[in-house]
Amino acid sequence: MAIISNESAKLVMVLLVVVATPVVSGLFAGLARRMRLRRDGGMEAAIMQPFYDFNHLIRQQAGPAGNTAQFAILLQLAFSLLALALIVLQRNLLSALLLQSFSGLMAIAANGVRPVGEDSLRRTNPLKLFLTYQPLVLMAAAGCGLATGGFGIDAMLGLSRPLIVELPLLWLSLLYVAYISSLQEPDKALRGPLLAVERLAGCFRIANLLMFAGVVASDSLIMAGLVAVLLGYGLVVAEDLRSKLHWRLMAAWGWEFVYFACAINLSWLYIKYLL
Amino acid sequence: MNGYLIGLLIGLPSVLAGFLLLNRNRSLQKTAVILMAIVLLGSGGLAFSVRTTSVSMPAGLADLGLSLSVVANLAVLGVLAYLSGAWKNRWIGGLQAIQAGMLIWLAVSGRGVSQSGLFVLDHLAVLMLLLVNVTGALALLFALKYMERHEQRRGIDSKRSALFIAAAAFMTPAMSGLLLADHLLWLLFFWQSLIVAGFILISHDRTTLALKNARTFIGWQLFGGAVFLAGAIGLQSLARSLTISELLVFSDASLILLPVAVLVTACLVMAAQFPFQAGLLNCAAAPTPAAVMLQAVTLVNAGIYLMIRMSPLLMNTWLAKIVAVIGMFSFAAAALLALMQHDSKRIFIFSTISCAGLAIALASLANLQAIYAAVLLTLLHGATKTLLLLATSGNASSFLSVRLALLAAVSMLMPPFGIPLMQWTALEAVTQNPVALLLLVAGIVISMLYWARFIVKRLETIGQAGTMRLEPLYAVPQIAAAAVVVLLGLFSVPFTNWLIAPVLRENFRRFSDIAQADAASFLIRDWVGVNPLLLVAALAGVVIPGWLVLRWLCLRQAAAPAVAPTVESIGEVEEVTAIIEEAQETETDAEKTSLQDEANSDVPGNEVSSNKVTDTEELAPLADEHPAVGFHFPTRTVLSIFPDAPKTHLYVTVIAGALIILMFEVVIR
Repeated sequence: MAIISNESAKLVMVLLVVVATPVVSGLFAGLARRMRLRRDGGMEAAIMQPFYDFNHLIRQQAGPAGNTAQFAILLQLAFSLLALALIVLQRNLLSALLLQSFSGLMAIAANGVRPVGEDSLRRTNPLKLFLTYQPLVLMAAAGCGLATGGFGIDAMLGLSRPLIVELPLLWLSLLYVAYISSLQEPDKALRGPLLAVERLAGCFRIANLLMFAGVVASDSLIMAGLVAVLLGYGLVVAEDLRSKLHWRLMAAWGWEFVYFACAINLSWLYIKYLL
Repeated sequence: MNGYLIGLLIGLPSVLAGFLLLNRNRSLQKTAVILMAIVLLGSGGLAFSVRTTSVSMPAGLADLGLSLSVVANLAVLGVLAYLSGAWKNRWIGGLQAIQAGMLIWLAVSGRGVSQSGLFVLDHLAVLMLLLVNVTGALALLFALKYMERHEQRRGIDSKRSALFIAAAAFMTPAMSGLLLADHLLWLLFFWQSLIVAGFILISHDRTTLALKNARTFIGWQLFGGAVFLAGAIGLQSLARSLTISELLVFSDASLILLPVAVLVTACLVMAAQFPFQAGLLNCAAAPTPAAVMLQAVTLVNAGIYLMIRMSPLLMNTWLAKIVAVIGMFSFAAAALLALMQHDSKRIFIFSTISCAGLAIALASLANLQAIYAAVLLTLLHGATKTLLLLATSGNASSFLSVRLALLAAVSMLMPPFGIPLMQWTALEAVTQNPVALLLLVAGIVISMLYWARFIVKRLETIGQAGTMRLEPLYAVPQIAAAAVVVLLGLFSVPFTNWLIAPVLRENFRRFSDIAQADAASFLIRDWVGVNPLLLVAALAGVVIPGWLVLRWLCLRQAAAPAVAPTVESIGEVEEVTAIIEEAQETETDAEKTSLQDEANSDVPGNEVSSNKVTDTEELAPLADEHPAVGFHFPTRTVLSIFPDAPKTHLYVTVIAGALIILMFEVVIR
């Protein structure tokens, strides 16, 4: 499929994606919750339930977060939104990931700044997750750079065959990263509108990772978006595994297996393209 | 004009430094330092206006020039031997003896060799001169007040402080000489002069630790000097020249690659790269102006500068790959060590080594943006480290210093400031070298963490910061350094196109594709797809309206009447029921109470009745922060959020400006 070239069409696309991302993820979350409750023989839940919850959060009283935490949460949203915009505009992948990283860092800051993050153990959890997944994202980006000789998303989508053929293990590591990112829970002390914004930012951050995975797995932006939607649904369904796959276990797996897999994939690319 | 300019850059500040050494009168000292700062800024500005010039020895006097440079170097070695007590330490004495032998060898064997080069001012030297003169002047002004307090605290004799100020003042012209020197032996002379001044600064307190640190520093630097001379001997034998500008256009660079590799090793020692970091690490115990001079103004910058200067000789060779890996290793390893530190001075030193490693690695990469990033990173790091060091010492807990230190740390960590952008630019350029790539990835992640930790710690103390006003001699250097950091960071793209692009064309003219290409082809639009100005606009476009909405929501909640607990969310009903059940099954009362509180607080409208929330003092500042203001939508929405009307206008103006810039940029693209 032809790459979208018209600038105004791209801007419209950005707006559409920005609006659609929380809507789609909310619908998926509602659907998954309904399925879970049905399976467990519980009450019937509306598919729109996540939106009611979000609305409820906005109407709740804000928790005792200081100005710094508020600012960090807003920056988190801003960085993740801009990263998504850059991916949809098919700009440089590194710039999108740079902004995505700072969104993750702001998430740590939002949970780590007193008075929100009083519990020191809870403060270190997002940090450990960040330490686990951030190098993996950069390694996946490096793999794209090795395979295409650059970081332009338009060039990646313009390839004759999707990058996933060259980067299967790195692609799987991206899914792993998206999954462990979805395990990241905001601080309990965050509530009300601040928690709503934090959730929204988290939703965009995961969407960015899925879009990145989509770009690797397809040859057009539309196709990448569809892949991201499918992966997003898979992620929501996999949420049922959360009780079994604690983040500590996931982090340990990351260091034991996923890094090894990424190194194998990168070595293969190095042998193929640079030797 | 050429000779006068060189004299103004090196000679006049050296004379003023000499005056500072002899003078004991405090008010005269203050006047001389202020005059020195003016001279440094003025001469830097003059050099900037001239941009390119050179001073050469007349052909007939080439041998005399060589002899003079050798004698000058031997004289400095003698001063070093006297200061460091070389006869008591066999390593230092041995290194000095080796250097003296090498110098004499060069003088004897160098007759008839091309020795015309003396001083050259080009675009790279001008940029570095601007950095050195500005940060050097700021550090000197700061040192005046700082050393006065230091004297009182430690009970040090004022004569020693005069020596300290004079040595600090002498470092700037010595560094200017190093930047301008076109002959390797004159470059070595200025380097050795820096070592003398550095020794005086580090050993200032005359404690056992200070003297030991100063000897370690001098030992490593002398080792670097000996390596440098070994490289010079190799170049004199193979290229028959010690003039840098001639070496840069040498026809067969592969022939001289080995001596160049030896010179690169000397650069690594100068910039305190692993495994030669011990000399710089010891300056953590020295007074702050010494740390500024060594880390942000002189030696580290000198190492990076020389590396950038020589990078055309090693581009696309095996040496470039090795240098990239060594630089990236220093970047990652020093970042990891910084993460393990709790003392801010040691964090800064490791971050200096880390940034220098990255700049050196960038200078070795055959990539347009990487070369630009190496130069810009050096400038940004020098300015930011000056600000960090100044703002975290002196009256560090004052209102202004706390915030400026925070600004400096944020500029190390986050876009739109330049340093993180340079790190990501390296990521784009280094993909061809997988070992360097992995080290870079590790370094970027760890750097993010230790700066984030530093910022979070600073944020925690920001509320405790005093409201004390800083004295002008503390405040002016900090504010000026902060202005440089912000302007350089935000306008990094136009700055690069205006001043750094010519460096590439001038320094890399040995490559025909660069020499013949159109100037416009060297211009950049962004760093890895990020234009700092556009990013600021976009962030402002999201954060400022978002903040307004959040404030509105918080105020609305504060103004809303208390509502009876109603449960709208089935998900929350389940969650609350589960928590209550868990509480009922819990044995201890304390756990029961906390779980029931948690359950209550999750029910809408119950927050006020929950003991956990009402009993804590955390809500008290919140109540002050969000007073119950009536909500009147839509007519007074904005004004009710900001009771202060002028501020509202300011915010609205900023939002409008940000959005206009954003749209402008989008349309241009």
